[in-house]
Amino acid sequence: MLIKTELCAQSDLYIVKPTQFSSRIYNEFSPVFYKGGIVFCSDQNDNSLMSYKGGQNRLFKIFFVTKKGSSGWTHPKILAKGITSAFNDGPATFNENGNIIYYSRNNSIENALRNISDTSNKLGIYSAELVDGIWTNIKPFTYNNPLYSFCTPALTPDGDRIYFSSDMPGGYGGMDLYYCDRLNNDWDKPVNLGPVINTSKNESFPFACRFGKLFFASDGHKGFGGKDLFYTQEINKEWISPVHLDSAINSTADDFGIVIDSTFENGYFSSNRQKTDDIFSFSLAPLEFTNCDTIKENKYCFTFYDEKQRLIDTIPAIYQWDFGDGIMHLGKEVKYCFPGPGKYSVKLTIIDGLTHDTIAKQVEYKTELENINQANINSDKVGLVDKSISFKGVLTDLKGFRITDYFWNFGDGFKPGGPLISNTFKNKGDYIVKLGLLSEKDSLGVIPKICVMKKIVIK
Amino acid sequence: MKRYALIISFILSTGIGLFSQSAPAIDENIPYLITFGGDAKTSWGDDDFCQIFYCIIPPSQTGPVYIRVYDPDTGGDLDEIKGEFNTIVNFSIYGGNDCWSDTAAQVLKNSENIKNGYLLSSKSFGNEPKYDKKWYSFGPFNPSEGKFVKNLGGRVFKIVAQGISGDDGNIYKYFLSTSPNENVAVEGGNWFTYKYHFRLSDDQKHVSQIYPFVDDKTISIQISNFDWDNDGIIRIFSVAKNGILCDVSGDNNWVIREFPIVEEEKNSTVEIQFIKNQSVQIRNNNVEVIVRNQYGISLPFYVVPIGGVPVYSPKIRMK
Repeated sequence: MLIKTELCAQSDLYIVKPTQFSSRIYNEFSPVFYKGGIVFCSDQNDNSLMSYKGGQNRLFKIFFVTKKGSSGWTHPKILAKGITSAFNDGPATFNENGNIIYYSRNNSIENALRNISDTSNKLGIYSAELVDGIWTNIKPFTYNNPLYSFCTPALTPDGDRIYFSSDMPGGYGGMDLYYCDRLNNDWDKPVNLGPVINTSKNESFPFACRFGKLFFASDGHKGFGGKDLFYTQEINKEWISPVHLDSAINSTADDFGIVIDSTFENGYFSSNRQKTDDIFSFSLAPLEFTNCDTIKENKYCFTFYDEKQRLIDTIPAIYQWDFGDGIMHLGKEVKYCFPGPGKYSVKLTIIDGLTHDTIAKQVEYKTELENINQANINSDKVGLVDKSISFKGVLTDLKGFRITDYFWNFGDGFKPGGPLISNTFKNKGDYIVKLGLLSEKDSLGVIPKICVMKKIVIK
Repeated sequence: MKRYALIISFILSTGIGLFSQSAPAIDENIPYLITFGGDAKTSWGDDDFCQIFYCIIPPSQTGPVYIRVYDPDTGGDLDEIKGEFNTIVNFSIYGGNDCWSDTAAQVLKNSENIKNGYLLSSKSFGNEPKYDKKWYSFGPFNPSEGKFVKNLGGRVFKIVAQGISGDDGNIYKYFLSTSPNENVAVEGGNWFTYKYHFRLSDDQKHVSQIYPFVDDKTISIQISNFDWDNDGIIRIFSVAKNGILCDVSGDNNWVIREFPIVEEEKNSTVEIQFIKNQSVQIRNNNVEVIVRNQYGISLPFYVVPIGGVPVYSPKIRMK
């Protein structure tokens, strides 16, 4: 199966296809990258394990596949016996070094004969360490609670935050998304992501990628049906409204458990659009922005003058300008810099230099300064070879344009990024840095995009 | 012309600010008018020995009016003596349909045309102490004897002061009154002339001004001044002119300077300001001023400025 579609209504195509390691009869879902391969959950048989439940209600285990050749995959294997229980295991998430795993599993695994359909055996989050090639030192997550489920953990790339879903009290209904920030060697208290993200239904399967973007699945936000995949981002300590991934990724079936590589160009997600849960791959053609605008500088400094006075020579007159700053500025032409955008009133009084009579008194001129409606790149204009330069993408007064994606181009094509990024130039010369931005969909379902560019001189 | 006339008519009919009937008006800060005897030298400040003024009587004035002249004789210490007083100046009041016409502004030379109209009263004055520094009243005149000019908002009379003989300067002023014995203003009345001939104050601190009215057909004005004797500076104010300096004449010559008129100055009054020389005191300075439009037609000076004294309105711009 080959599905071509436009992600986010862009002209660049995503190619979506089921992975070879997904089977038609078993369920596979929640892929994550691990050591050049994929770790995922599946209820497929592995002869090395004993199952306590046969028939249709098979238990889920954590599997691992690696690339084989240019496009093939090895046969899925259980990731590690050491973290495989007799009940449900997974999904999993790893730290960047790949030596720590967080995964969900049933809390109670002691009684091998108990009824696994017992809903009182809730899911909890557990961690383990890879020591000398063996996963060991399994620890429960600090906030596990036998009365509620804690599952689908997802570590941020830096490992300082863990997202997960839970139905614990205090949420907005169903499964809600939470995060805990790392505090010393443990985790701080769970924080609910709030009503912008969580609904009365279920939000789960988070995936935190670079630049702060958080993908998740929800059957509470408006989508195509069942679980759909969304992403959000915390900007200025507020989560933006979830952005629905378009039709190649989402379908009327359940779509969940997504993972994307660091370039945002390739990834995998889970879907039961073919009846069983399967893992699909997708890839993005390089995104292009055309007709990038040169950034214009906001102007706050002006020269004020009396246009009539300029036309013809006049007698000596004293021009007094009042800009409301408590200082009387004298001169037929005066330069003044306003502090920034806003509404201002300028008053001019003209005194006759000969008779000292007032020729014009407090003649008012009102002006309103606005920033140029544009995207902007805040950075130094000049840098040094091999010295990192920070670039910040900001948006000024572009009403209706709510940024969902940042793409940076340092001369090697547009790459996904965040609002803040740095780059090191290896050679002297002039460089054109481009910033492409995508917005949320407008009322017509089109996602606006804009692009600006800035010249950087490297010495 | 029509628009200009309508504006004048409106202002006159509503009587806005028109409460002074002396010519020169108090706000002009001009002490007196002056006319030299017909034998005088023009270098003394009068190039034609004649001054024509028009007064406007509003329709609301139905009773008799008087045109009063202060110090009509040529003698005493107010007038300008040249040798001995030997000057005769005639004052004539004209009414009737021909006393003013649309072409009046073109009649600036001492010719028979200045006597157009129906002569209502005339009197010549020589060196007569009984009129020295006294008011002499012409009239009574029934306002209906003046020419009704709708565009000017009332009935018009003409008064011509003409130096008949002699070489002295007769210094005088007018008042439009409802009384023969005292100055009782005709509410809503006004004076205008096309050629202003006046005596400046000797006080160096005095700033005098006169007020030509610019109609909507005017795109430029030529300001002519005669015999200024370099007594300081002349400058121009309007809603769009912020005291532009005007070239000044020396002794016994005319100087003309042209200024553009912008849109917002049309149908408004321009102020010509006279600031005396602050370093050297020049006494007994007489000056004549004419303002013409681009067609060479003289613009009227109203002693009470139409629309009020122009206030410069700067156009603030930022770049």
